[in-house]
Amino acid sequence: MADKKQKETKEDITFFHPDIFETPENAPPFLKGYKCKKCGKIWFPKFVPCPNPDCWSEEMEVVALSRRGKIYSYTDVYIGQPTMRSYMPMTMAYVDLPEGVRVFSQLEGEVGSFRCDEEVELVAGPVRNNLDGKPITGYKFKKISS
Amino acid sequence: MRDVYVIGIGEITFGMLPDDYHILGQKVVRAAIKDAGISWKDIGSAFVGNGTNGLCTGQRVFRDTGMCGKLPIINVESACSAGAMAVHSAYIRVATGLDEVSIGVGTENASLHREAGSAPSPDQTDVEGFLGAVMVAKYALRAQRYMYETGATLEDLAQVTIKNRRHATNNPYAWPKAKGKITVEEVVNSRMIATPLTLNQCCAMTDGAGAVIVASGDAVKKFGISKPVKIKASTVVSGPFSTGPKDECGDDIVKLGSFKAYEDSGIGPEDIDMVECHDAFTISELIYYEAMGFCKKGDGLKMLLDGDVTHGGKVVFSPRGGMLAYGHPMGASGAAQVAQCVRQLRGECNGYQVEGAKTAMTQVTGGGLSGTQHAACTTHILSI
Ligand SMILES: [Zn+2]
Repeated sequence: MADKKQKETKEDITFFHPDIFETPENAPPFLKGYKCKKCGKIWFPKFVPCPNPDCWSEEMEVVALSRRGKIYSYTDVYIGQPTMRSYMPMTMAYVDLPEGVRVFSQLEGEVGSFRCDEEVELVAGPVRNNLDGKPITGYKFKKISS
Repeated sequence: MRDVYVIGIGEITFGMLPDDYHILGQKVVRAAIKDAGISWKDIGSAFVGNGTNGLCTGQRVFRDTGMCGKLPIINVESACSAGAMAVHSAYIRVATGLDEVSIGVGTENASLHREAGSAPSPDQTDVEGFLGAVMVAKYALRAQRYMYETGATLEDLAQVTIKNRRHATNNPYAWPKAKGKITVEEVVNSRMIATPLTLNQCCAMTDGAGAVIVASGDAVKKFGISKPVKIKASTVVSGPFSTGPKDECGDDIVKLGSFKAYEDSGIGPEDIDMVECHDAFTISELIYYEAMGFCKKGDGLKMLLDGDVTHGGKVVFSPRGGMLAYGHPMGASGAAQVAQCVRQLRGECNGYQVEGAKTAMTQVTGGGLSGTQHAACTTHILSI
């Protein structure tokens, strides 16, 4: 009963998630890297303190990561949790950014249309539904619009 | 550290089983004690590997054997590596002289605990998981890149399933539904899960268990064990962490674990007759030929297609049929692999015996931890 009440009053998230992704109103969206002020290493997603065992600095600054990257590998996925199924099949990929960061991401576009080493760019889009059945906006990559 | 030997093994046939994990565990414990020809009273400690069946799984296994209260029972968890890590822990206990005899058990029942249609709230701190990175998708990403770099085809990948299921044909412990002949078409045309991995390139989530009793040289003499199998290496490593690019056609932690085992044992890949590896997907085994040092980088596919990894070849990979023919009950597989290697080295595998096998190796990774290729890897080298 208590669970049910909580479900009715507390809405599930619709954005994933402010620590790693930002969608400014008048500028393109970007991913947030965490740059260690002491050892200089850039991490993604969020790590505080710095996971470098010789560093462990608490001072991390947020840096905007490049919006363009290269597909290291991709796969068209046909199975997933119930709240993802309306988006299936969907393409998932590792995208390498110039900062030396590899990002796991969904790709926006037709399944079967992507290739390894292809360049892609960051966009915002629905990544899955929340428990209320509403879409959750998150980061994705798509083919470069020419 | 003193020498440690395997003196008893317990196995059951894998599959979708009606008995829960603790019953499966009891069966293999009793079988292993009988196989060793010792008394339960001779066992000084027990380690139980399990992935998902709850808390105090080891005590639950041993309670109904009447052994609770008579020995320390320690539960071991590292996802798919748990069963092998339980054997490793028993090994350490004997090697350091704490016990003369110890037992490592792996057990899991996944099918009885699968809740239909359940939708767990995704964990927002696991970014990859939140975005849908299920295990098969992560291996599909490796497979796609492997095909891109090497020119391997879907038909090539299928050869791993065909080989392993063929190996299992006469193995009474393999899952009856997944052993024997399967054609390229049946593999390639089975349901697509995540390109290029089709259903028949993925291991099933079956149920099972395995137990391994280890003992000191003194205990081997005392009990008059006729075919003791020596543990030449039992190594556990954790996954190197980095959020940058990794070679997904290679495997850093498997390489680390394998080469540590070679160093510990003084045995190299050229001396190994058979391997039970973590062939959860076709691509895994292909990657491991190289990561474990059985061939040069880029030659894995050639090894498979030239017949170097089957009976009569350089080294027999997955003679029991591997996970592709057993299915893969998370906590159980690692212990069952060791048990099968022991049976092979004793020459007891009628109809699927690796001719003249003197040295065997097991490798099982565990855990999809973001930033690592696997959270854990446990490796054993055994010889007779
Ligand atoms: Zn740092």
